[in-house]
Amino acid sequence: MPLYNHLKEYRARLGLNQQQLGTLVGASRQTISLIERGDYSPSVTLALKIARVCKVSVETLFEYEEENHE
Amino acid sequence: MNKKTKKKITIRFFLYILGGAVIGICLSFGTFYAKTSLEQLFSSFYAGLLASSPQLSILLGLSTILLAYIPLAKARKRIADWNGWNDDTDDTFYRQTDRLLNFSIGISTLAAIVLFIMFALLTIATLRKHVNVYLFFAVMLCFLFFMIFQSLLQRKAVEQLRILNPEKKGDALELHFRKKWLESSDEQERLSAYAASYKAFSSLGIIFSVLYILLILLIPFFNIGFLPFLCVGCMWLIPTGIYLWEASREKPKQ
Repeated sequence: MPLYNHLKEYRARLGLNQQQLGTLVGASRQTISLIERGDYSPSVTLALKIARVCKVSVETLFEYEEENHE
Repeated sequence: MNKKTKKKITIRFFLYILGGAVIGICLSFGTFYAKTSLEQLFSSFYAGLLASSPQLSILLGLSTILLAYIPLAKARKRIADWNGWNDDTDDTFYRQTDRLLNFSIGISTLAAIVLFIMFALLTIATLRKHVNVYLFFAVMLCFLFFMIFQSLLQRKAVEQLRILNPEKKGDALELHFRKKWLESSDEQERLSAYAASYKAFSSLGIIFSVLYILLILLIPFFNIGFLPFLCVGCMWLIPTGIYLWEASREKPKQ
């Protein structure tokens, strides 16, 4: 998956666990865990909500890298 | 799509149709020539099924209760020993417990469908005097007990799921439980639910085609009449119609 993120790092800075972050952004703990592992790409709305809670821009939190098809 | 690919797809499509027709003709001839022996086999199997329907119903009811209860009990024990979410909580715990609870709910749901089929078989068996009327009422009471017990097991499993997912709403015995549960789910969980529903819908075409062919092949052996075809047709038409309607509807603003 070409979407990488630094969510775990920023969540740790805030001192929140996955359940607490999930409650703040209206997502389940499982979804936060899937995003951190890179197994789920959140919608723009959810990405913006997470970025707002982490007090950073979406681009700082999520990185998109073009896949090399060669 | 270029012309060559289009041609390839068209040829493959007609080959599938031809292959299906050849298989259908072979099966029809096969059943026609083996009619007498197959008829005997089916009628003795059907008579045996009718005669043993009370015992089969009770056996199925009890075994499905046990099958649904064991994973639920395991999941309850795991959750009772659990200290709540923290950053060290391994996702394996969630996945395994969730799987156990979903297995229990799945068995209860499937058991209810199987019990409905068994109830129909029992009713036919009673009307054709294969089963005593008193036995019919006794088994009917057992059916009622099985259904209530399975519903209570489902409720317990949902309650355990709510411990793992405190944001979830709804009681399994509520009328609009599915709607409430989905409303309290987030985007990822909804996507999973929608993907599962689409997969189930996509398989309907194959399931109903097979059912239809089976019914056609059964005509020589049972006096099945038009009703089963009508039932299969309706069950095929209604979800397809709902899907087409929903797909063509204007999407509401989020």
